[in-house]
Amino acid sequence: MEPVLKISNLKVSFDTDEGPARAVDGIDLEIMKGTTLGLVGESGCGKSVTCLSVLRLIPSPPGRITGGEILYKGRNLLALPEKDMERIRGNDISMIFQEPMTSLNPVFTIGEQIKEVIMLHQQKTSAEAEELTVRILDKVGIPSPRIRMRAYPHQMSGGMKQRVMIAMALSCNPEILIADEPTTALDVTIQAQILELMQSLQDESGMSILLVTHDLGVVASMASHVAIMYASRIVEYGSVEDIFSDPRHPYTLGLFTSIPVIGKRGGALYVIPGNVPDPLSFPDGCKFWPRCLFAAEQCMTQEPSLREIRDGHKTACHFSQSIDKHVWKEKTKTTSFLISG
Amino acid sequence: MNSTDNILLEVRNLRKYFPVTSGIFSRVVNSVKAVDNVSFHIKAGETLGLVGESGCGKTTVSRLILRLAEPSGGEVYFEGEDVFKLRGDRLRRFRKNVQVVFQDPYSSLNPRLSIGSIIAEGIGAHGIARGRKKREIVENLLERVGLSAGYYNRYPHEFSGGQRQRIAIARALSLSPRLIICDEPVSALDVSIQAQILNLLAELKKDFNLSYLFISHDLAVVEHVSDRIATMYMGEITEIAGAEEFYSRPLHPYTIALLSANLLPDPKQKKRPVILRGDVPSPLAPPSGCRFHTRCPVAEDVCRVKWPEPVEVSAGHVVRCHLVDREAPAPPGPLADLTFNTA
Repeated sequence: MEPVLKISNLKVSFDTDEGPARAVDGIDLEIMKGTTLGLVGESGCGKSVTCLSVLRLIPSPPGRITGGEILYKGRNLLALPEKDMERIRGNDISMIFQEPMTSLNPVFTIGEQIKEVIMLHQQKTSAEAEELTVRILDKVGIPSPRIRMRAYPHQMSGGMKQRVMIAMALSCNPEILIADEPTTALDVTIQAQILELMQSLQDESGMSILLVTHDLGVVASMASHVAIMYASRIVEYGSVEDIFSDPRHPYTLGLFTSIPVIGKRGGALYVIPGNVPDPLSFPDGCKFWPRCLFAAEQCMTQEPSLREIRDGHKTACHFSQSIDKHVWKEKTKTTSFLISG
Repeated sequence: MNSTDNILLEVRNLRKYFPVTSGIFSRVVNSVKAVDNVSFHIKAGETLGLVGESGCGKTTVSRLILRLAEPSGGEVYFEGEDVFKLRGDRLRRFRKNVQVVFQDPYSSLNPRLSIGSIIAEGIGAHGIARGRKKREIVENLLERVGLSAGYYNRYPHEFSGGQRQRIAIARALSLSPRLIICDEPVSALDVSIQAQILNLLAELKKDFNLSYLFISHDLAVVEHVSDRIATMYMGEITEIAGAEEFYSRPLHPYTIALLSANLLPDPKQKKRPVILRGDVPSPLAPPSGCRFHTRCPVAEDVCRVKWPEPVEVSAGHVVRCHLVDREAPAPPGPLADLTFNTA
């Protein structure tokens, strides 16, 4: 399958008073056409910076993309003139954000805001754009769209606002939708509705989705491939089945055994010791070694690269061949939905 | 031990109506029934999980119990005493015995006080210890929650979210309470930090024989920590059951919908259809009859007109639904095959 987006060795750093913070430190990612890639990690690991880099929306200064390339349809987005990039945004690659409450402009009706996007990107008259707005609102499941398009954001619930955001992002039929924690601020029953909507829109249009989340349940139900990010690097990548049934990086294993799962009551959760390292002073070698149960001398000096361990399943760990869920279970004495299988 | 003897907290028909006013004379034109006839109890050493979507009244219940808000009706008994009638010394003793940990550790700690003085404040106010002895207690608490005693003079901004939540927990523990109300204590934290705090709360519960009222919107977290679980919808408790029974034999359609919307981190799990359509109705105009009927996939005529009374279907399992069949068999297998268990 052809990747629609290919990120190679992307590096982004932010200048701070104490020196450059490496927010993204050499990552490789591919998104296949019509599929969903889940990008998983904890706050501050570089997920959102990765997304913003794809759209070249990194605030600069202080941010700088210091290396790598992002290939979309054979063109390196990082080398495009700003004018061409403006055409890519919205038309080809669109984004929805975590907070539907703050990403809509409170002084314009939602209809006006969607219409603005359409008229900016497509040669349409005002009347045509309005018709299209009604159609899109209807498509994302907003009842009586002709009336609701005259509503202001504060008159809508969180779930409805996220539908509006999706409508806006999809108004120009993008090839790629970047969804940065699209359901984190929503209640579970509303989350289920939004995920179902994204799924059906994808089935219909064949767009690719980069889904950023920290929720493993969301990833398991939506993504075909998963990338686990830790301290500005991808530490594990593979199909969703491989990642969930046979995780091989100690961070992934730690993450999976630290969450409570319905139906597996009681018992202590695994706690990854220590804290996430400061991007201003990453440890030498593997960035995870100070918190890793398997750290050896080699890990402290030599940073592992993301290597294939078998068909498309990649990890950035020197010892992935010898670490799996059985070894993990033995070592930590934790049980989880993953380890019991 | 007599089962009624060890009831620590009992909430009976608790109500809180917020008036909606209009015009320059602030005429009361309507009211929002944030909490409506809520009843439950918590036994000593027990954790009751309270689940529901935003705006369902979870936090208002906790504020009423803590006497941070005045109720519109109903009673709360703590160790047999009517909490709303407490005055003077007895109120002070109640406040010492019931403590709270809030969701957002960034706004619940005073940025101008060192963490030592934050934790020591209650100890001083209740006259438990002074001077050197007080400092010793605080240092022990800091170490007990996994921080260093040397942090005494540091300020909240120097700490991460997880560490701040530990400070908030140390503050709650400082008065040796019997009940801690945890209002979404891990919702603002990353998953790996969440595990640390959940484990810490479990350890402390055992060591200090604490009871928790654990409020959360995260069913997996609630199920992990709770002995019994209650769901709330539009100000009412819809179902209460023991944690095992809650997921193996959920009976209220809302509970079933919540469980089915909770995504398991397992790609092999078959996708469950979305059960709940639409949004929660406006609390200004709550639906007639059962408040859930507008979103309920199995609602019948009776649900639209008649308000359901709570029914105890088995010991300790209370459901507020017209369609609950007392004789209905449990659905086979947990979660994977959730069905509407209605006659």
